[in-house]
Amino acid sequence: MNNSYEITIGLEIHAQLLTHSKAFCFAPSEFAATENTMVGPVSAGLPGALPVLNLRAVELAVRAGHCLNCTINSKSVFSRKNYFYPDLPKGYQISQFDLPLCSNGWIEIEFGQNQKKRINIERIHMEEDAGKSTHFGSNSLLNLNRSGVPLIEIVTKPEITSSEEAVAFMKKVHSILTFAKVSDGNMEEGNFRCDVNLSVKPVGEKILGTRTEIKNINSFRFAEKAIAYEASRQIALIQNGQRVIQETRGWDAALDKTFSQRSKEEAHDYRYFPDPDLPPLVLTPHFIEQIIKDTPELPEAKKNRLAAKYRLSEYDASLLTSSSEVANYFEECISQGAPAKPAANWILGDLFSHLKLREELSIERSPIAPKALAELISLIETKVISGKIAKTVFSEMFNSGETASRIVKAKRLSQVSDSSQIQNWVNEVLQKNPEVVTQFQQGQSKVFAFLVGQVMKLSQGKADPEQVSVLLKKGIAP
Amino acid sequence: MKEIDVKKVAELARINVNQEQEAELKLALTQILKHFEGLKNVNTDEVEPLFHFQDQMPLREDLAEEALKQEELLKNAPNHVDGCFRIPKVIGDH
Amino acid sequence: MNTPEDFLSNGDFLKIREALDKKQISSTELTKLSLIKAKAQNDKTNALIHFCDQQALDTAAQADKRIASGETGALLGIPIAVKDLILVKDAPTTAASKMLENFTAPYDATVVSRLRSASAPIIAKANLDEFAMGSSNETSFFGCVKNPWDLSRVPGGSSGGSAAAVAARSFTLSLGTDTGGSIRQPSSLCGITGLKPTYGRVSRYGVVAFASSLDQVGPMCTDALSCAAIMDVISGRDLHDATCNHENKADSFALTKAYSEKQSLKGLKIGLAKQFLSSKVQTDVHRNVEAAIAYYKSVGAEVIEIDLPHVEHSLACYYLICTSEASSNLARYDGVRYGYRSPKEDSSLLDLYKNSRAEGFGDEVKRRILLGTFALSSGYYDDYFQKAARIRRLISKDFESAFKKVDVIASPTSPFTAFKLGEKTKDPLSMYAADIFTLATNLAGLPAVSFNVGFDQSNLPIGLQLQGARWNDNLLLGLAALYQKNNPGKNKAATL
Repeated sequence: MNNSYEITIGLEIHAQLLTHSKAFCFAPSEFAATENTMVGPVSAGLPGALPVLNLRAVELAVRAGHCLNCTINSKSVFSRKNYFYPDLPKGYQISQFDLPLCSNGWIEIEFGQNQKKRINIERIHMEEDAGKSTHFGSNSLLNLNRSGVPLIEIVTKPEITSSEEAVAFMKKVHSILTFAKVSDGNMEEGNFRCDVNLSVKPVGEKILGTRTEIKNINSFRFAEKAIAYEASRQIALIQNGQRVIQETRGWDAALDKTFSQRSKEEAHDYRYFPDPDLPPLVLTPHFIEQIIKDTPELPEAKKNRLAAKYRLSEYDASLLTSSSEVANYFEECISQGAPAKPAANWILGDLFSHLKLREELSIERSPIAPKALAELISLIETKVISGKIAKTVFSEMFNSGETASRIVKAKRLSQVSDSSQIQNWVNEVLQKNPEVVTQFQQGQSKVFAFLVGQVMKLSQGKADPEQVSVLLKKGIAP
Repeated sequence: MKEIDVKKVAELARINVNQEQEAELKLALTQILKHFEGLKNVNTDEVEPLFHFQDQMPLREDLAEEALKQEELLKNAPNHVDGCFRIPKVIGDH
Repeated sequence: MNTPEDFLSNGDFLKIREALDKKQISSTELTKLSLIKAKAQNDKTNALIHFCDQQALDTAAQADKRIASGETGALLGIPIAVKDLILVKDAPTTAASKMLENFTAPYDATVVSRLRSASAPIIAKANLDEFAMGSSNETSFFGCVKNPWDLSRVPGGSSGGSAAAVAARSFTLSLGTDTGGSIRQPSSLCGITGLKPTYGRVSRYGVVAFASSLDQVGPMCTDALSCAAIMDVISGRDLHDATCNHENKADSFALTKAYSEKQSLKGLKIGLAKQFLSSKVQTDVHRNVEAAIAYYKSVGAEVIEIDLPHVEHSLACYYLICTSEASSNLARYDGVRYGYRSPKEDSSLLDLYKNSRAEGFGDEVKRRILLGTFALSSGYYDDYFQKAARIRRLISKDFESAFKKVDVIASPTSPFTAFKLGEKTKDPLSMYAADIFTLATNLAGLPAVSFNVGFDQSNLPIGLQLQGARWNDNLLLGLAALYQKNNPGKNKAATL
């Protein structure tokens, strides 16, 4: 990144709220494969339709505000943002303009080499999502399923100065909102997306440069790339003596660049005015208190609690709380009886690597459920199988979806703990390897591992390694 | 009194007006607005605008009702295909 | 009085109710007759856009069954028409516009569901000014409505169709909507009784929106008792309308009837606004309105002059607010998901919007959308829309103060009786001025009733308007019913 310029970034994050019905419409707020089947008169913008606000949406929005350290405004007003676009059925979006639900929040982000920074949040307001149009030759096809789904919009102050900070902020907000069960944060489905407002200026310059807005970024990687690209693009323009044009841009993931989405019409005049169909939203202190009380444990708190309770390292605890899905998985394992450290190790080790190899499969879709993993761990703890065999079993479980005990039984992988059987194997190995025995007796202690390995090989890995070790030691003692 | 730019307003309102209509409308709307000039002289310092008759809105329980069936939703559509409304291609973002 | 025709023509609610309950006439007979009459009269008045024969007859059959089983209900079996702004499922709802010419409603308005539950057969969709914007019913895409009292004259608007058809006795009950006088003014010009309820009393869900903070659905009928019966059925909290959250005690009919039987109005104070008194009003109108007020005085009411200092700004205030809200409410009519789409092929999306809206909307609608867009636009919002909203607060406060001194405010409903078709269409402002007595009511969210108190020299009806404090609708209906009971001959049918 060019060192003589600094970047100024403001983010607007849109997150869908986890409700059963839409923000102002009674139709279901769920994903549907078939187009135009989750639409009611209100979200279709039919003549005569009227908005009525969803209580749950308010609760979740207040919860979000609280988790992001905002002031919750006891009175807020909904306004109409008027513009024409096919995915906006009413010709206006119900949003909040001069009196939003939340103001003046903040979160502290960590990035780079243990750098910390507080990013201030200007406001959080409630609004409704729009439908989706897909392009098909010279036509566009409009699906209104998503129209009317409740959103919160989180607007930062323009205090972010790098893509690192931006991504750290996005990730932290994502984490908080998913742990708080405010949003499912599913970025692929567009339930969590970000608009990036970016401008550059010479280092030390006070006046901000002209900014562009890159809309609808739905991945952390894209955000990082888009910011890098756009900053370079703007710097190059300026260095060439050209001006940056204030406009909306999109991110082209195929070409790895931002592109202008400037339409040929004039800048938008949204003609905001208070929606006459919706009197002000008024919240009592009691209402707000209740919501705060019911807030699920947040990532930071959960990390600290798990670390303390299960004596995990800060590092492990933080990985285990890197997403609410991972945290849920871990906690579910524990509730299924698994001891914490082994559970942590299996999740952070084998499970993560297997998921990664399976095209970055998400943990909620893991073929090994928490209960199954807990069972595997119990087989190790009760010495039915060795830790080494367990790894094989794990892979098999992952690929087949079978339980540990079935696999162990079917493949006869049970550990052999019968000391007389182990003694037989030990004797056979000692008999077959007299030179090695002599070497050991002469002080080359490293060859012990070879002998252990031979016994394991003979037993097809099933001998209880502890007993092997003990009996071997006895057998080769001079 | 500020002049009304009919062309600009018609753009905002997405209504086609030809030159003749533009001239007519400018005349009619200017006349009407002139009539409203009297409002300027009314003292409204410290007066809150009246937008609603209720102090607060009622909230509804988060219970989903049945959505309209796809056929119902599309039955009034001027153009639809494969369960979607069809329109000329949308250029750019809003 | 024997036949269904007798009862229809007479229009007296109590008589119709009794005849049905005593099974002297059946709902099916009444409904069939209503349909026949309405269609015949429509050739002359053009009051109705669409007839809902099958739905109406089904409901009538249902009503007859319920009556036969001994059920009672004020509206049970009495045919009613609704302004074609109100969605009736599976029937066309056009808003009298080319924009919605072929639109079939996929759901019922709440008021319609409630009428269905009461088994009141819905006969027809009544004609209106396009998108409820007008005071003469001359802007309808389906042609003007003619006043049955004189077919060369307007019935008033925007609910001109409802008023004309009730006046001619195609039926005795109808629903209209009132944003600036659209129930009251046509009621006055056609000689019937119309109530604009307190804002928030009746659900607007399923009613094509014109100006959301001003619109209300209300009854337009042959008499006040009919209006009260309708109010009991349609009023009250609707989960689908956040502005309609008031409990419906369903006592309008009972209270109105009781009030109509009062012998004395001692203690009642009727206010006459200074500003209204000094307005120019047709001589006959003035005379008849005075006579009506004299009647109330004769039974003990006191008349007091009151001051509404900001009411002179009602017209400007109203037009800035209603057009602003309308410009937003009508943005959904864009040719994309329903309604008229311009046939100009291979157009861009932008052209699709601009052509569909230019071709689908009539001139008055377009004028108002443009005015409203302007009033909300950047740089003008404070001086126009917001300024009007502040003045609205002042007007509202004027009424609040007035209602501390008086119980109701009386005035003519309209400064003049029905004017000739085409007389005011050249000058929008002169048309707007038809509503000077009615506009302020909507700005302040108040209830108001209009009912016939006489006829001018050309035998054209004259209406008296009574306005009340918020939620005092029943008092207004009561006063109207009392007048009607004691001043027979005012609720005459127009003969075509």
